[in-house]
Amino acid sequence: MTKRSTAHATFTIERHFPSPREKVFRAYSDPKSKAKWFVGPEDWERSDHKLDFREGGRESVSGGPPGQPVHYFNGLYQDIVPNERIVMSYEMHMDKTRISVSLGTTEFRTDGKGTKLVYTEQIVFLDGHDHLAAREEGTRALFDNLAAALEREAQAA
Amino acid sequence: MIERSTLSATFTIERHYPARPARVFAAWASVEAKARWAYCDEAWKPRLHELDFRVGSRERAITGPAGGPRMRFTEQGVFLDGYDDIAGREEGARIGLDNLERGLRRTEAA
Repeated sequence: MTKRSTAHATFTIERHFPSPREKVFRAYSDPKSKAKWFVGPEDWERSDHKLDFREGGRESVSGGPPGQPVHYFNGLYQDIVPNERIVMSYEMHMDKTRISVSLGTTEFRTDGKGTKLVYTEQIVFLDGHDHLAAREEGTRALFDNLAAALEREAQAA
Repeated sequence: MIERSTLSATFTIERHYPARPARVFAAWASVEAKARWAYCDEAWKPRLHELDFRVGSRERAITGPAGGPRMRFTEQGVFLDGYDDIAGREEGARIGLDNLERGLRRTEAA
């Protein structure tokens, strides 16, 4: 029998990007742009990324290291203010086990010629799967991907 | 123009109820049972309450004025654009849980 437990946590990450906030927001709102950076490490096997970017719309993707448990992300968009804010709830599964449910708030602020992005995630980890450090590290890796994607886009322009 | 802002907050409430966990859980699991306790007072009876109690499904209520075990309730919320009444949200949650206790006591006594 599964030993049931919950662990609540919150973390915040701030990042500066040299691109204007319309461009940074577009990396979230446009499915093709988002698929370029919202992915796990290089060596992960992955599914198709699905994004229906509107309030009440859903997003899903899955992936994982070869031969290891698959991580499933399922999100629901709660609040969208173009170029300013995105609030979404999402759950993570490892194979068939739900390991967490989160509320993620992303804010986009003009910062000089670039953008300050502030991401706050409020999480409940379920049944001992409380991997806060790994979640925060994984999220930082996604923002590294985003920075690289924005830089490629700026160079191509 | 609206001044945009967010405020993230968390509160936790723990309560003891004189009923078994399955009975307390059942008070959340159907719209009929939940409607008996989940509103702050009679004047806040909802105009609409839909509850589809399955993973991935939704609950929706429209409400407003004139219109055993230990149980723990934790809410993590983000308040938008200055509507940051954490104390009000927590007080409302406590009133709902008081209503639940009264309801459970009535049915345990019956």
